Amino acid sequence: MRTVCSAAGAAVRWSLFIAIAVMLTAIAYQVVMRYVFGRAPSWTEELAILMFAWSTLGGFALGVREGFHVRLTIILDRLPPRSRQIAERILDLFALLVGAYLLWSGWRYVDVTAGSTSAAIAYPIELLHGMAPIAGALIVLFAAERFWNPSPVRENQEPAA
Amino acid sequence: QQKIVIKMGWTSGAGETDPYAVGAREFKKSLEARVGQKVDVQLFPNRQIGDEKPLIDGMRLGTVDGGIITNAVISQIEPAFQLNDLPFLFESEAQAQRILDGSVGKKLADKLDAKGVKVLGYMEGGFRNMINNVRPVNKPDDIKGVKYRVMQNPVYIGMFSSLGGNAIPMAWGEVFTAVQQGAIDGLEIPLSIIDQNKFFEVTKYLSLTNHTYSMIGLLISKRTYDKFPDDVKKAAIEAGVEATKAQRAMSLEATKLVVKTLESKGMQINRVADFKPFRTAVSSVYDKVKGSVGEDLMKEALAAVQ
Amino acid sequence: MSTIALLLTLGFGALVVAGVPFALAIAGITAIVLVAVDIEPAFLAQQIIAGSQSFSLLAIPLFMLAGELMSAGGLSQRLVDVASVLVRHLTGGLAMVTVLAALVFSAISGSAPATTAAIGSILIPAMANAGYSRAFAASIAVSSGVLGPLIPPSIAFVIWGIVAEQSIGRLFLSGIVPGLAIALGLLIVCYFHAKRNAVPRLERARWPEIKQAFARGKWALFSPLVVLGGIYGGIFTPTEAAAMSCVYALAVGLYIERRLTWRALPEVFLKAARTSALVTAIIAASVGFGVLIAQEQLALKFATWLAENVRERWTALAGLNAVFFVLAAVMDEIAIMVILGPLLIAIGNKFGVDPIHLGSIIVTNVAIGMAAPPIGYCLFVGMAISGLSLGKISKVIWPQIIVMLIVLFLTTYIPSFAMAFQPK
Ligand code: NA
Ligand code: NA
Repeated sequence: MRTVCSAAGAAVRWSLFIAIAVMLTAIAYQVVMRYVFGRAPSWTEELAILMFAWSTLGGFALGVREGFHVRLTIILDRLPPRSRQIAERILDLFALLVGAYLLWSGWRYVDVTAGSTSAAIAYPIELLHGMAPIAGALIVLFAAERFWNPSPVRENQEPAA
Repeated sequence: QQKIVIKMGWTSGAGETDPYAVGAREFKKSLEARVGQKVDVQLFPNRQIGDEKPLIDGMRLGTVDGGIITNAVISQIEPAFQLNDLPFLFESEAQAQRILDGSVGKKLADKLDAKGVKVLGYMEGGFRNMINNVRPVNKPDDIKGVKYRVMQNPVYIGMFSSLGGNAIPMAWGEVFTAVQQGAIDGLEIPLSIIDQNKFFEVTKYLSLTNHTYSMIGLLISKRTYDKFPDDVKKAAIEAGVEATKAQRAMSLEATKLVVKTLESKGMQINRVADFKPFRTAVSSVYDKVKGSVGEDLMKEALAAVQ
Repeated sequence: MSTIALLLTLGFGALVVAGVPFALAIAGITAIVLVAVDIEPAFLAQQIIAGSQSFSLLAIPLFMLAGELMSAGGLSQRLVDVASVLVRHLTGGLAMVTVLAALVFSAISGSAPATTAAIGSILIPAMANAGYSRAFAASIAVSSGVLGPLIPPSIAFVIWGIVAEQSIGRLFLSGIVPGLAIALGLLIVCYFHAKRNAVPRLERARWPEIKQAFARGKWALFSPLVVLGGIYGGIFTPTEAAAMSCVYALAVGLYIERRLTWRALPEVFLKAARTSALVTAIIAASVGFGVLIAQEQLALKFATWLAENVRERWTALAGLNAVFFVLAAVMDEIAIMVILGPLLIAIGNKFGVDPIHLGSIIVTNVAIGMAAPPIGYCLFVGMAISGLSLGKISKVIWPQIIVMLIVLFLTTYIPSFAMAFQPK
């Protein structure tokens, strides 16, 4: 279990790095093509958006593992340590359930929409829609990891916006 | 007994003359006139229940009951609809309506039906036309070297590229400022939007190129439709036909009115006399979509427009 | 109220208060509604995917990345050095350096917490060493962070531009005056704080030092021109500008400043990916939630009620600000914009508020929410850097919050204030 989770975590981290790098390269290429060569490629925007979708969904799952999603701890902070441990385990279970639902939901979505292609690149739409069940599965995995190997009480990490 | 709630969405506003809003209201009126004691049609303009792609996806899933959707988005679900977006295919509204109400339209509807979405009517968003600040468009050559904003869609990009223009895909929100600052020279756009978004303030020439007939589909989810009792099913089909007829009539009126308005606001307007050279110039675009539309359907449509 | 409406409001509130992260609470309550009233489960996945399909949203990870690259490449330190030689000798000088450095950094970064992190990590320890209380040092870094979303470029304006379908370029301009006004107000707070607490002044910089700071800082100072010049010169869209500022920061960091290495890039990119996902996961999850709210016609009912009971624009706007301020205390500001966007726009239309002006009011609210206790992204960053509790920072931050509320008042009621830079 532990090895599976850390391998999955590492894979997600690398995939996010690649997604952001491809996104950046595609848009920079689009600007250069337009100004230097006077023509705009038709695929850059769609590729960048596809990468963005993964940065969002993969990042959603990674946030469950690393605990970087923002939350209110007003009540949790007032609990005695033992109760807080229990409360955190319940919250992990909730995350697991949400992940499981997303997995199921995404599976059905892929099933209904399979067979079409994207507008510009004509990549199979399963590539995009499949990100939902994959993210769901990863959330299940990472939430289960936290449930069985509880780390010390989580703190709000550095957020952004 | 509880009424059947039918939630219809579209992405533009709820204005008096908005072609989508008119179509949705006409459908509500016609359907409720028939079986009003049984159904409650609720309207959601302004992307309230989602953008066009999520709306049509929702119809496939049965989470959205119905809506009015632009042809380009329908063709992401059923590629055969790319036919309707072919540049310079239809010559006039009447011709387009005749073909869509005939066997070509029937075949398209059957294909979409297989994807879980029913066509209740082919409504009309008005032809798309070109506006720019360089010169009026009368012949294909007039497009050469002019920077046009296009949608991020291979058909539009291909059309302007094969006419020798610079096709610049750009998010809609930035377009007005981009024309104003001269980052682009012009764009292609339905007439009503020129007026609504005040493009007459920043562009000089309006050329009635009628290059793309914008079909907007009155659609209903098959999952929703199949749950209707028989009399409501029948009423929905009839209401679709009636609403489409009324919507097209109002769209034509609105087109005439808006051309007059734009002229009075100082735009220089010209009508393209001969569109055949344009169609020849963009033939490569036709070849590209042949595969997804289907050889037979393509032939049938091309024969019908001759 | 219907089952759905109750779940969407009270059920969601309960999850958030119980400590479920916002993104999971929003997705979770959506799932619960789907189960409770038997809607096709695929709805959740469909809406989350739909919520990640806008080109403009790409500006979020890219502006995050630009900020990370600036810090990792040492450009943030260069900005601090320039601000330092200019004002450090004044009363409250070093605190003023924080505000001014944040102001320039804001013209590159679109994010409030990124601004607090970049500037605060350098200046909170420096201020503490120079005789400021650690709490005040942290609080001024927190409140300077709100300049990030107000001075263009701005992630908050990007999101509002998508929600309201307005030009992001024009929206950016409407944040400049509120941003500058808050900066000015913060400078005044710095002055009086230092005077009352007799914080010792620092030595005035001599001419060679000033010259050197500017020479070393020129690449950092030039970067806002790349971003803003590109957007307003009509060269690129805001999303493309975000990408180009990353390219610029990469080039300077790798080849001119030489503090970045290729080997370090995955870590820097991943840091940006994390902070970006934190925002975009909330946006993606909020889309389906917003559709359910719309289908319940809650927003419509509220707007109708408001129109019937409130007659004047100024009371409507006061109500809007009050509701936003209270909501921002318990809810994520980005989620408020996405979920309640249609309602806010409906209210704006009803009372004839210019959509760009409305955008500046909303984003000023968002910015304040980032720094105002009890929750706010900038606060969290300030707590993390200084190691202080929420209570300690909250106690000293209130004069800064009052400054911001005064600016919000001006932004709301003097349209020409926010609209000063709009093209005619
Ligand atoms: Na900024
Ligand atoms: Na707050």
